[in-house]
Amino acid sequence: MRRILIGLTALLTTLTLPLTVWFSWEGENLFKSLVKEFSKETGIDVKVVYVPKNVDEKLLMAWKARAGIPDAVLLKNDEVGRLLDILEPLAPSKDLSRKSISAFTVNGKLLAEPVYLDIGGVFFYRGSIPNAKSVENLVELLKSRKNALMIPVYGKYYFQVFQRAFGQSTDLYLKDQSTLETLEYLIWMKKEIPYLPKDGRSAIGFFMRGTAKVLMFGSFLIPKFLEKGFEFGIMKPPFVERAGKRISPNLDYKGFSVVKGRLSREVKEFLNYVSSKKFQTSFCKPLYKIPSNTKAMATLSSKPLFKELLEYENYGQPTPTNPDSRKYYEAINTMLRLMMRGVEDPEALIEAGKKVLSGK
Amino acid sequence: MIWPLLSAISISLILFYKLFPFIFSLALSGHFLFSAVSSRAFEISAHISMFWALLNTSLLILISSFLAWSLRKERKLLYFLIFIPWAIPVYLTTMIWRFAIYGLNGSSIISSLGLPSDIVSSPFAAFFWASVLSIWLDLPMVTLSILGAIDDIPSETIEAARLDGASEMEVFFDVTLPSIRSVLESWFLLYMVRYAHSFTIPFLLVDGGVTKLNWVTPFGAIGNVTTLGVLNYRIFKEYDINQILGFSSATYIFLGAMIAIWIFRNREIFQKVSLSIFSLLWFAISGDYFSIIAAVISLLPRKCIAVLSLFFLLISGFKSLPFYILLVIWAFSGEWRPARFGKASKLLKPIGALLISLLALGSVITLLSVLLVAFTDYPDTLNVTNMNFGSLRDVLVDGYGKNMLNSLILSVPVLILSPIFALPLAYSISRKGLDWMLQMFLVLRTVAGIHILSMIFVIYAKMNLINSLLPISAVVISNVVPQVVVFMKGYFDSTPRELEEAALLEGGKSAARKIVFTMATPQISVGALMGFMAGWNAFLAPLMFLFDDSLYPTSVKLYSYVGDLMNLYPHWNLFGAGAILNLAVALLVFVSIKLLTGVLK
Repeated sequence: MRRILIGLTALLTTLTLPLTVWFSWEGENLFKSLVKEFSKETGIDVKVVYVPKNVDEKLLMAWKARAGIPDAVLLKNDEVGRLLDILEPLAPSKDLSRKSISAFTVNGKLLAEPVYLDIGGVFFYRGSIPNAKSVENLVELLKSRKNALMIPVYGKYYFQVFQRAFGQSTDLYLKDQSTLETLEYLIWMKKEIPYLPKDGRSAIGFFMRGTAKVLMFGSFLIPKFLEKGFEFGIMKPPFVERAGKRISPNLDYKGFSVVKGRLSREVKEFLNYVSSKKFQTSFCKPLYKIPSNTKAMATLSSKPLFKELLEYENYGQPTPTNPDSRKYYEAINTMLRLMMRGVEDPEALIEAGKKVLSGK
Repeated sequence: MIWPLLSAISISLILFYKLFPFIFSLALSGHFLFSAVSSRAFEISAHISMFWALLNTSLLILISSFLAWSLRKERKLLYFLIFIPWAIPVYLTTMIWRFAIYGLNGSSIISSLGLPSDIVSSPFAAFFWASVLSIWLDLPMVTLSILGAIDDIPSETIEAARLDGASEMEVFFDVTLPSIRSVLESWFLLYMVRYAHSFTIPFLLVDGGVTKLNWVTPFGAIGNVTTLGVLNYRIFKEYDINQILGFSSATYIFLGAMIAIWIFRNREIFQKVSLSIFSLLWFAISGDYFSIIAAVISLLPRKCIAVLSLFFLLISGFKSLPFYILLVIWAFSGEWRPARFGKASKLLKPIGALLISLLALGSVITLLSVLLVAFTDYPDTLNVTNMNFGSLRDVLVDGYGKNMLNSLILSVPVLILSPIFALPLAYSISRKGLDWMLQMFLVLRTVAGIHILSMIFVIYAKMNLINSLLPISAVVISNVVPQVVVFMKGYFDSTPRELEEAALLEGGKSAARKIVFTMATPQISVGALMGFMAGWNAFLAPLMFLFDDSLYPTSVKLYSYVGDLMNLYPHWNLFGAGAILNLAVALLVFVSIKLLTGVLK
């Protein structure tokens, strides 16, 4: 009988279900190959599910439905606040940067193991941009050439890049001087540059074809640019002359969160692996992402383009982790879409944004 | 024994998916129903929905009638013109058109024709293109149906009108339209309700349209094409279960009220009372004081309604909705009097030619756009000189084959079960004269939409059925069975009973069933293909019920490549290549239908 029990236990152990990990954004194949190495080393089987978009929504849906819940899921830091109630608080692994840990900390709880960050608000250029140290310089230089300067002023994720230059704190409120000044600044830009992009794809398209000389966008584009084989550079973060400060890029952190009740030994091992120097260096190097592991960051800091990106990281701030951040983005989106439609009264725009922010 | 059982299962299935969710939702939504009805978001969206529905339905019916009449003798040309909007699924055409209209930052095929293309920030462009596309895609079904009705008009009637000196336009307006009035009325009701909660085009093409300052609400900014369907989807995505049930119940009741008014339009007392109640309900929703006046006017004699409605519509600045409804009901409830057109009759031919050209242009633009995005290597730029097959390779490397397999897994149960459920039900309805039952199913199907799917989501969540393909197949079966029943019932209506009676005498009930089954083999095959296409093209239910990329059918995968209008980085090339593969399957099925129809002949 005892032998049978031992045999059954052994059998059950071998039948353990694989860990399910949801993965999003760039690097799906690379991630899968690195996870295979992890499985080989530890014997822990991992099933990677690629979730192309709206991962936070889908996680909430799975949680509501109590079906298909993953063990670990790659999230953006501005998504974890909303998921506060369904994520396990974690203990930080060693060697992670302080900024990355604070980016995922809500109400004193670390809600994800930081892996890497993308930068939102990088100024790419093609050819030469003489004497362009500020956004105002760029506008002056390029406004007369159609589609030469691609600044996505209507993109809700880029609002804070300017807003922080005007002094906004990390709190989510709209009725303050920095919001007002940012709106005035964007309205000024809209008037100066009639061909401003209304969507990201055209901005990138114009830059890839060489029509646009300067493009402000996310660092995730670098591998795509390199793949296309054209020459480009990254400007030093430009000044906003009106604010007397440089732009403050968005630090878009990504990390693995664990759904409540799923923090097993295997999951902990997986988290240790993705926060290790080895994993982060291998994953971040070809994708031009900045690792959260300080040792991995030190290894990559001397590589081409990483130096420029680290300068952006220095001036940047993490995107807001507040539970209401989604509503905040929706409020900004409403203001910018109204502005696109021709509403150019900053006070009225702020009132509209506040209505959304105070919504149910 | 099996036939009654199958009939009972199909009736239960339809009721379970189309009526039970509402009862369930009504019981649970409680005060959230009232807060939804009284919210500013619902008020604006209901207003937009009614205006959108009235405009589109009127234009659709008018254009379809005109097209059917103009091309009744040029059927090949008509079939050619409506082939593309009929054959390509709505979600696919809508995304293709988004590229054709907006292209790259407003630089597109449409803008190169000098037409407005800024659907992101121009309210006119957003509304105009959403409306044009909706009508264009619905033309085939309505036109073919009207063509059938025109065929039934005795040629002597038309000849007599011509002999009396009626012009072509007078024959169309004074003879043809009144003769097919009952068909027009049915389509009018169907499309009024469908447009009021339409989702795919308002959402995928213009993301709910362009907003304005006083349309910003605590439930987000409402755009000028945010129909009740779009609003319900936003609530589904962003809010909790109570809000979801509140809004979906409110939508169901709103649409139900529309149908009730229509059904009672020829029973004067009921019609007046229901119109009056609707106007008062509208006042409760919108706070529009003109609605109270409309409630009073609707109780007056018919001849006063048109003049007073027009007067108060003018006073309200054309904003008070109940007056529009009063005018429509007025137009449909009385006698249609002949009109005199004089020289205007000469306009018929140029208008017809213009319409035909626009229809053809629509098809050309659709095909051109999908070919351009499919065979262009860059994800974001349109480079005609560098066309290749790289995207087809990329989309297959991206695992699109798995998505096609998922579509197949979703479609096969629909293919098998739709005719199995529909056949006995169609037979019973035909033989026992249960037409009311079919009408009830069609009404329930018409009222269903995103709001019903939201309710089903809540039920499925409680039953642990989310993120799985088979429960979605069940939803699709409940949608397609009434359609297949209509198709099969037509066949049984035209089959002589004597054959079955002879078989009954010879070999009893089983022999009679066998005869029916054998004779209906082509209908069963076409019913199965209808089911397959419904499963293959299913978009809304998978979009709402699946969150695992590896389970996506092709429809949701294609959507995930380009996302919504404001998506920062859409992969148009992958979308185009996937769309081409999807269309190849659709073409294959079309050819099969064609062959089977040949068998039917």
